[in-house]
Amino acid sequence: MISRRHLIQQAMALGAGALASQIPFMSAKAADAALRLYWWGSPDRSKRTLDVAKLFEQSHPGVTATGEAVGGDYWTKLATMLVGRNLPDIIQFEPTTLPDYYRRGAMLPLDSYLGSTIKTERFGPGVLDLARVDGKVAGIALGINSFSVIYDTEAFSKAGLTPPSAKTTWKEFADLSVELTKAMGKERVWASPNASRYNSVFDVWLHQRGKGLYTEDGQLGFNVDDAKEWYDYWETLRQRGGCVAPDVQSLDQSQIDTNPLARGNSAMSFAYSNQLIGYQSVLKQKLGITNYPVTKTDGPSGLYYRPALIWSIGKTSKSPDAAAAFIDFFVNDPEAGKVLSVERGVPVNLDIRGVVGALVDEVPRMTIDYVNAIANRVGPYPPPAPKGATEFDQMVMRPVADQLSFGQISVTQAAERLISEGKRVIRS
Amino acid sequence: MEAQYLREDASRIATAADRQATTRHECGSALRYQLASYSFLLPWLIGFFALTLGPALSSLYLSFTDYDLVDTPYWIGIGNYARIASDDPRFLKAMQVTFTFVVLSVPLKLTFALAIAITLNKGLRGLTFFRAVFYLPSLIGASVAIAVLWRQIFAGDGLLNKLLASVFGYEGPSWISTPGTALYTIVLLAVWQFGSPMIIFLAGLRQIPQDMYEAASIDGAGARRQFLKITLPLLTPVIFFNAVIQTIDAFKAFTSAFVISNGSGGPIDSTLFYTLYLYQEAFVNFRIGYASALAWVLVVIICIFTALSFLSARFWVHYDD
Repeated sequence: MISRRHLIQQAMALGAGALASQIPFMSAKAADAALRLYWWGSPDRSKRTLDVAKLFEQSHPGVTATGEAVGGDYWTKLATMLVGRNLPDIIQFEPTTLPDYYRRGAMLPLDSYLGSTIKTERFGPGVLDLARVDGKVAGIALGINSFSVIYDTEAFSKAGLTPPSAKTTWKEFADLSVELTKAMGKERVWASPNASRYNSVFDVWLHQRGKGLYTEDGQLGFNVDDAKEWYDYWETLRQRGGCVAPDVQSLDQSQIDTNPLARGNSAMSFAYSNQLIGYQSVLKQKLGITNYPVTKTDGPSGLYYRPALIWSIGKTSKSPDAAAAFIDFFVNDPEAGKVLSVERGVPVNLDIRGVVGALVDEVPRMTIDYVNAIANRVGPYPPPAPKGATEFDQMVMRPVADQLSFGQISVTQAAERLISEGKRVIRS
Repeated sequence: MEAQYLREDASRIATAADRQATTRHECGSALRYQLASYSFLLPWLIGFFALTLGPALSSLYLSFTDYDLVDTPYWIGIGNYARIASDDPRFLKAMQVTFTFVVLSVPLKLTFALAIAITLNKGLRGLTFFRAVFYLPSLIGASVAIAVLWRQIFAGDGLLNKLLASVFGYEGPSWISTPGTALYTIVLLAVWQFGSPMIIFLAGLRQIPQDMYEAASIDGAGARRQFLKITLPLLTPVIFFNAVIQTIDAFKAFTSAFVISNGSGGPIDSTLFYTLYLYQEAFVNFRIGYASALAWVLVVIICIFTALSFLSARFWVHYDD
């Protein structure tokens, strides 16, 4: 018969055995580096990222690099890991959120790795500045992109209209949108999205007027008249039927799959240039790319190069050297470059840019051509976004634009509300 | 809730044991009986203290701080509560949305549940089958999958609009992204999950003695009169129970609004449920202190409502005794 004591002894022996068998395995792992990667994005991006991680593991024996894409709760999860002192080694950022995390002391400054572990001599000019916060390099831009209009070439050719080009003005864009919508003649399909709720488009619109969303010292960079002019443009276009209805626009969560172009409700999209590859992967029609409309044919473009995405290293990382080596491999290795293509922006390493540009794929080449074509028209990179910038985008810019387009408030009220609620959430 | 019953049962057993022990003058065994009962309670106790009471108390503390998830919490007194009371338009909007939801969804759901329960109580063939089928939405209804399904049905190119277009030739809007209709799609989803009050109603209906109906019909009361004079009054304790439970549930509704609005509470905050606003403040804007204060305000609101229901019960709930 099995007594209780006997059972406990057995269980303890089993437990100890299991523990003992773990020990050599654990110590072997501790000697090397196990890197955890953390990013968001499409399945396509995840596949490219993991393929590069595999290449890295092959050329760096003893180092493993694993991770997975996280969707909607990306920032919530990251903040929770930060509090739990359990940050991944390598973390993906975009330009708005990096300053905040860096200033909280969560990210490792990379200055000491530059030129040694992370080789920078073939980087394009100004690349390191794209992720510089308070004078320190807080991350490495993985690719650059800029603002672009992505359009369905077939919609324009069927309608017999010329798509927008580098010199199209906002006025011409509005007329073209109205015409195209009429020519397509389909229920619930319009030419343009209602960009009044996109803060990136508003930012470029303001840069074309010598301003910007935010000032150097982290205040709102525009006044109520700028906002009025902005809302007036889009509200007029909406009433003329050139841009999508409000119930279509309010579904947009600033992701490719919620965007009117991807959902088949519009023929154009205001997007980042690296997203061309993502849009083309979900749409059958051949897409084209050009810059945002301008105020005057020869007026400033308002564009600037921005880091499409950024890798940073968590301050609590146990193997920062291996993490830095991974980032170096990611941006400087030609094989990695081929796998990544332009999905995270046009490569910052000019040699890699050449390698990817020489590939036959048309979409990456179009992306690179676009980024190169605007080279002599881009302005300087704006100062880092102030605290509250994300909240301004999601909880002020979008709802106020929706209220206007659903007819709940007037253009003047929308402009006033944007300023007053903007001041509330932007804390410099 | 079950745990509560368990606890009550256990303490009853424990008191019985106490009495027994004292009569036998065995002090040691009284303690042992108590220990035994508490050890049976242990899983629930651990869960209650570690997962409910602990976090609740820490959130009470945090509600008086400016905690932002990263920096050390700084005591700001009633600052958060003062802001809720005087300076937060989105709080008011969230209250309005939540109260609309409660006021619409609870009576509709209960009426629907009662109607189905009465139909099922008519001695239908295959009762168990129908009971299971009607209960199904409640089992799966709170899940993310159903909310996703709902989003597809009421989207601009969704099932409902295709139906409307083919039958009536009417081009419907995207119901979930139009401020005037978005909330009602969620009310509909809630009403559809009538299963659990229905089961309880069904049990309540079975408790009503049949001879009352027989006596009434001999006295010449019709079906309508029987329903108003026998069924409803005798069912009031069950209605009361269901109303309280469903009201509390409705105040806490989160998943459907979160999924259908993609976490935004949009369009234009028209589906900004209280809990969704709380979530946004805590986990999107990282104002944990403020969100904790919001949580405690919700606790107080629910308490007030429950207290009011119990006070009103005196006037309309009939107990047998």
